[in-house]
Amino acid sequence: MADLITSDLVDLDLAAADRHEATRSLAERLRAAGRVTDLDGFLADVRAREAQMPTGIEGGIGIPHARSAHVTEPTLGFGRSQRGVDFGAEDGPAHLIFLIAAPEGGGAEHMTILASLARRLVHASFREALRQAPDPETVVNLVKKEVLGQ
Amino acid sequence: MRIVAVTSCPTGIAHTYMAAEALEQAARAAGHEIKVETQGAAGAEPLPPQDIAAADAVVLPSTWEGFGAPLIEASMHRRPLAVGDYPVAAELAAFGFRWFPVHDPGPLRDFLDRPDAELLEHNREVAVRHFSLDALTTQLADLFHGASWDDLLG
Repeated sequence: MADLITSDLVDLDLAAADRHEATRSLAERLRAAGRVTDLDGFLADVRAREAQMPTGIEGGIGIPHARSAHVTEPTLGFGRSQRGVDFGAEDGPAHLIFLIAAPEGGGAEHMTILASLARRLVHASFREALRQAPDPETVVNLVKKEVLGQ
Repeated sequence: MRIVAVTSCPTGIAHTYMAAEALEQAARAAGHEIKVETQGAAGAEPLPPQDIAAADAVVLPSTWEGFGAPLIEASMHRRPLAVGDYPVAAELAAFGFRWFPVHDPGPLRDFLDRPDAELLEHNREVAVRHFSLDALTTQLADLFHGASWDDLLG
């Protein structure tokens, strides 16, 4: 199984005016890495999920995500936005954006990794470390350590 | 205090687990025991019935719960419930169940300070009347009779 995240899936200076741009920008990285096979198809799945209920959560976090037939491996794309992107959270825009991509027919092992990632997202120490990360490698190592225990 | 909870969400990959983790953290910080059933894409392991029966409070916080069973089980065992706004909950509420809101902890806290046995008995009666095995037998018999399948009733 491929790594959940690699440094080319991290954008510490995400320049996006809104959540659609932010999601597309990160999704393009997933496509370039071969994790997403059909960019527009995947984005449509993410939008469909976003339409059910906003994915912004308190503390400046946005987690656009989908289970999609256009995803090959469970993958995390991570973006940090200086100005913030509105993901519909009540307390303001998101500065940390996690694009979570799950394959449609993902097995239990895949889903367990994503479950573990979701559990880490509510920990303030994990968020703070991501806010402070100086480079993409640090983000990748943080995720590996916190989510995969490596 | 012993708390049990069930969480779920549309895709089953994010909020189900975030909510479970947040509930576990909050319970631990306040010195309470909690067990959370995550109905997510990683597979759900149902709460053991004895855990529901032994809980001081049952919390169903999601807006996307797909199943009514924990709600009925908790009512059968006379456990107080805090329930979110989700479609199956609304259908069950129509039977007359009474529970506390999840967005405002005040009413459940007041109940736990001064338990009201009558409310729990009321919910149990509603559960028995509509969802017990006896009720199911009667409902199935009516269904077969309506479909002129009386032979099947023996």
